[in-house]
Amino acid sequence: MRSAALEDFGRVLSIQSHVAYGYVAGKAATFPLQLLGYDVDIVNTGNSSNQAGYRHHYCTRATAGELTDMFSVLEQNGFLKPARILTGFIFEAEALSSVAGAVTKLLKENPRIVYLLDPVIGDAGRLYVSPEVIPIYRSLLPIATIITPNWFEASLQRAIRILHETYLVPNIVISSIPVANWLRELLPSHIQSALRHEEPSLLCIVSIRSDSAGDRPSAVYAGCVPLIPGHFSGVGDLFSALILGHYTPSDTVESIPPLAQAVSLALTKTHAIISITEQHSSSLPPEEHTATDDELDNEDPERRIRRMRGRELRIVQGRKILTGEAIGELRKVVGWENFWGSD
Amino acid sequence: MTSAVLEDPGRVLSVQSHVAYGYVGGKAATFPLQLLGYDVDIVNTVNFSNHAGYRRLRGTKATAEELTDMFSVLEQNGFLKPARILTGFIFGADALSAVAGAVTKLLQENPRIVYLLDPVMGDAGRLYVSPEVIPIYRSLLPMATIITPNWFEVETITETKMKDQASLRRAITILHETYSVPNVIISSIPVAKWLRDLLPSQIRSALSNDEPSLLCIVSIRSDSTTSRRSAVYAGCVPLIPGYFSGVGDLFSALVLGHYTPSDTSGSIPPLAQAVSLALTKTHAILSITEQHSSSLPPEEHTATDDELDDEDPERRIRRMRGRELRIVQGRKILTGEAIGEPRKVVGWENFWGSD
Repeated sequence: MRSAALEDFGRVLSIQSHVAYGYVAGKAATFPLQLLGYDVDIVNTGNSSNQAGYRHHYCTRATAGELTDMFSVLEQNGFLKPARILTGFIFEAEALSSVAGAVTKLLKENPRIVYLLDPVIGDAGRLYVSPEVIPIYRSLLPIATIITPNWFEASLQRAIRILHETYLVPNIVISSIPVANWLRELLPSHIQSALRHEEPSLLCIVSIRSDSAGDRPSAVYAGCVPLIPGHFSGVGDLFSALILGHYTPSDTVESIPPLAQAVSLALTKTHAIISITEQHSSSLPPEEHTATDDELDNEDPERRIRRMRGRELRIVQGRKILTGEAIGELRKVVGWENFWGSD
Repeated sequence: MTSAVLEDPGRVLSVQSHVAYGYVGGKAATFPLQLLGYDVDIVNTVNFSNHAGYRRLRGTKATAEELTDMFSVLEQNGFLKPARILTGFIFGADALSAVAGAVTKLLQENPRIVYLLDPVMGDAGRLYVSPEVIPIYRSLLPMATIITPNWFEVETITETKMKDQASLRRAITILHETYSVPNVIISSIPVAKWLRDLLPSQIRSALSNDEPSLLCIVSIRSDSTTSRRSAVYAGCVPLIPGYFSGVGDLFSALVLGHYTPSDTSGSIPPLAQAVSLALTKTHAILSITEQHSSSLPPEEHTATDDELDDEDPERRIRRMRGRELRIVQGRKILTGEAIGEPRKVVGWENFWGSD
């Protein structure tokens, strides 16, 4: 019977919101991590019916007091000894403070914990948390091992340098970056050649802070995937969880660093999951996969709901992708040698 | 890429407890069902730090109103179209009423839903919920496709002390006839002498005298064409000493996941097949959990001793921590890839008396 038990990969403490239906936040992260062999301890910061994009949304949020109590009893029972921590969407500043306090304490006790902080603040120029969370995230940045922010408007080099030097973040992964012309022209030729003009792409940038003194703050890697049209929720949550699950800091055998390897696998698997989700969505009856059209959606709110329902990530149906058994086309990140300027 | 996608067996609506740490309730049920290919929609009835066996726990309970609001929004968004429903631990009569109302409505709209009701009330002679939930469970029983009470829960629901053949038959009759339950599964039954003597020889011979066993009884109500009330099956597994939480929750989820009512090709009915698989996998998970627990440093796997535990509560906590079900590490068991020795249920032909 011994061969029936697989090895222990350690525990992940996942602090995110819960949705009853669908795959975002904790629901998008937990199953993939379990498939990779992690025990996932789950602290729910909120209890929602579904993600907020659907017309009808019910949500109860854990108060700061409830979260503090939870962390306190978990600690008393000796349960807070994770190898890895993952924090995602937390709506309110007080709740985030409580989480920040607990996470900070854990990292002080064990600095070897790999902490992936997904600083969920907003997207497409819109804030969807209360603004008071921003300074709390800033205070958490210095203790994160990896952060996975989405794209923000700032000079790319400046933003990355600030994160590494002012906020002391060692590893940054920015994904789902639309490849505008100015960005395309900056890319190294071997990445540019992978982009096709007719097919829009999304770029992912990985920046790993340099150890040595020198004028390069970091080693940068990048890779791209074809853009699949349509809005799919939970993609970033799945992507972050897969990075955390695949990140093996001790494995320095390969030609690219462990984080770049983890990002390659996460990109590959996430893209494959979106692909099968999009295929499934397209196979539904026409009323279940309409195109986004705000006017039509406003006339008939069910239209949006049906479309989003058809687009929930197929993480259960895609479990062979998640375990690596049927991974499909590999999406790699490669070195972006002259990101900081040529030598 | 199509080989990367596995087929859809449908959605399960799971209404149970959530624990941050460990594997009981929803945490014990969800991953196994996902491994079997089900999308699991999860309504948390409580949000606790850990199971009650640790004695120290904190968290919040969903109120009846919160549960009703949750079901209402899920319905408005068109999400309540499960193929299967699983209800487990629900705290308090009001909350249970709210869930009962939602589930009843769903079953009225779609009588083909497979509803597995685990009437969580107590164990080992002790009620650990408020007595007000009992009548609510009784009113819910007629909606269930399958119920998975333990021995104590059968006695509580039917108000029958099962101590001999007559009382055992009476209790099962009450479940099938008074409460209209088509499928009854009673698991983890300690095999007392009177029960052993009743068992068919095929099962009795599998029991060894030195190795205690636990029995599982399955009773499938007959349609009216036969004189027998139900077709009964039974099987046993070796008793693994020690208290492990979440076993019943895992077992119920696996029964639900493996139950394929349309698959009548086997020699035993679909439910009996599902129970055989559930018994096999649950026992295998328990085995690897016990092996792991035994491999821990001595202070992490002490024997149960209430006195010593009371002197040092950490002792109990450490022991229970070491005994959390290894469902993640046992995922190859759950998918069936490394299932180990099959544990089958076989027909108990003369349960109701010889023809």
